[in-house]
Amino acid sequence: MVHLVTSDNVEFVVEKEVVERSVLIKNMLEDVGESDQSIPLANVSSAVLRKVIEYCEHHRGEPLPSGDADQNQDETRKRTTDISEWDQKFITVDQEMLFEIILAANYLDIKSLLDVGCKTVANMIKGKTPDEIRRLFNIVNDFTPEEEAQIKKENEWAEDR
Amino acid sequence: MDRGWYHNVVVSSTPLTSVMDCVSCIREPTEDDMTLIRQIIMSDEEAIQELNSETTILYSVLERLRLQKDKHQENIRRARSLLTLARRLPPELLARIFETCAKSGWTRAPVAVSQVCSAWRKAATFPRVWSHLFLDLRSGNSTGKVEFWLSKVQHAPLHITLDIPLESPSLDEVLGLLIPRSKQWHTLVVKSVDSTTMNYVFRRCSFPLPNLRQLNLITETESSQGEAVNMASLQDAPRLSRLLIVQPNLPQWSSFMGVTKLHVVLSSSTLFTPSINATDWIEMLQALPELRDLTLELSKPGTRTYNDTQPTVDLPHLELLTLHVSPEVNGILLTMRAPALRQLHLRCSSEPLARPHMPSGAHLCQFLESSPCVRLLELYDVDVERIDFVRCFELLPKLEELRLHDSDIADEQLRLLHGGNGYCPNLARLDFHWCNYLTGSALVNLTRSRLPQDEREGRVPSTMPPTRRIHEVAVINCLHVKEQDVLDLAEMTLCRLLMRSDEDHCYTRGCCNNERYRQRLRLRHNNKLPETVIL
Repeated sequence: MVHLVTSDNVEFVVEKEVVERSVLIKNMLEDVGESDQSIPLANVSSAVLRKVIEYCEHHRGEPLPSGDADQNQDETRKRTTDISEWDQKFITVDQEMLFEIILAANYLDIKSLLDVGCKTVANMIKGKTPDEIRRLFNIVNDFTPEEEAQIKKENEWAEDR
Repeated sequence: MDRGWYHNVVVSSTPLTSVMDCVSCIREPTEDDMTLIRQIIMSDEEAIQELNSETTILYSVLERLRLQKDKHQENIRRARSLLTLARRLPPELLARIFETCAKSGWTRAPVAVSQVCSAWRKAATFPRVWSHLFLDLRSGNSTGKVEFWLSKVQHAPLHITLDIPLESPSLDEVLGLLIPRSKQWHTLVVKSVDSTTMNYVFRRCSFPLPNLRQLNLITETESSQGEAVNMASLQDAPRLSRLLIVQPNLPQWSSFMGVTKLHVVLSSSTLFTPSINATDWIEMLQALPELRDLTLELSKPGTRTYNDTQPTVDLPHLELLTLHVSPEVNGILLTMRAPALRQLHLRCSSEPLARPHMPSGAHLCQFLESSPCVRLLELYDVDVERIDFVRCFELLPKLEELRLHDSDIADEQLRLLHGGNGYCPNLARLDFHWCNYLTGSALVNLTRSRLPQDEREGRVPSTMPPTRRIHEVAVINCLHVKEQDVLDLAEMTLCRLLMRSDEDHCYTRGCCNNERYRQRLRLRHNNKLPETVIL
């Protein structure tokens, strides 16, 4: 069993097979060997880690995705933003949690979870105008007048599809 | 905030004099009464005027308060917007999301996302975000767009889509800009109305394409001279592994290629319905010894003649074969030997026949004799004789998944798969749509027969090697599978009443969206069905 301590000081005890879906933790365990000492995760809160562990438990035993860029490119366009049923339910969370999961997956190096998070955000913004995206995520338009002028010019290249 | 003025507002009402109390006679008012009435009316009108002006003052106060409130809300929104993670994600993660958007076919994604805010604009400068370049040469300034895009993509891989109309004055100039970047080409998609334009593009591209992985050629008509697409220039694309070809006739090439995935769609915008010639088919495949994934599709239903000849082609690495053709073309199976095949999908491109197609069954069985490793068999609107199902089971000892759509398979055939000494011991997933001859109880019995010994009641332990348990049974639009059967199945395995979105052929056709049935089931059980029923 592996002991993990979150940024808000909550300890989780997780099976090695589950937690090793995180390449960061897997490498750590390989480097220092197994011990009862807790691994501090300063960038992950307990609420987020709970979700991450839920994901890792569900996907335990599955082969880890390879980093082969060619392989990734092999996906058809449709599949690029396809998410499995379970993953879809799992990732149906509020926006802030969604981004926290993406950050945690990136930090812990869990590629498949990072993919699910990024695909979910991609699906949310696909086909929207910049203004609609701003409203969706509550982002303020902070462009300078010069940048606005440049943006107007670029719109010419956004005509088709 | 001083709220005292509220009370002043409330007490400022003037006393009301009733006209009825003042007049001497209501039926016949006197002259004095009428004077009095007029005075009362005037006094009420003055009161109303006063009240109106008070209301106006109140409205303006209310408006001022509303504006003040809006300002605070805007301030909160702005403050929150500075905190939102959507803006504070590291640029490399934002860029990854943007790249996913562009890869999925939203070609204007890089432009749109770079106009959201300065943080997103910065993230959108990552070259890979601009890797997907879509050019519709019908629209305005194509060369300007190419120049702009290439300045952004820098040295990142390029995935180019060229949509070329019959007359395209800018084609030459666009190719002139793209060709110097040919080493960056990873994907090239060319859509042209006729083969002459396609051949022109290929003639211009006759130089090494060291990184090209995927090529899609889509043309609806041959030129008036009947010119076929010439792929000779592709010989210098050593990494080309995926080919999608949509055209009226089978493609031809003169020498070997390392393509591992070939998808051919025979499509024509004219009335002309080309035939599939066995010799051309074999020649096409002989040049692709590395082939792992092959799909043949007829985009338009209709009878296609097929010359049945004797020779066969060996496809030693073929793992996945999909034929989406009319039943008479299934004979093409006999031209191939695929000993490593793991998945076979036979789909009918024309209307279902409503009866078994005997030649298809015979061809299927003959083909499977040399493909003993098949794990997944799908027959989609391709119905075969029941005896052919038995033969298939005999030939497929490694079968793990069986998918049938509009099939006449019946209980007797399912009984052959029962645990103990049944066929296909590894079978773990069944997917039946519109199978109107089998009963739910036969499916329940089959699933029960494959449970491990300790989960079955009153069974004597057997010495036979164990068969695998059934992990999932999908039953959609099967007439004789009743609600109780679904519940019984769900006690032993996952029982799916919903299409699988990513891999179900029905998903794109929309023929099995049994929403009303699922809705009724949900309501009947007050949304308390076991989790093993997938709705």
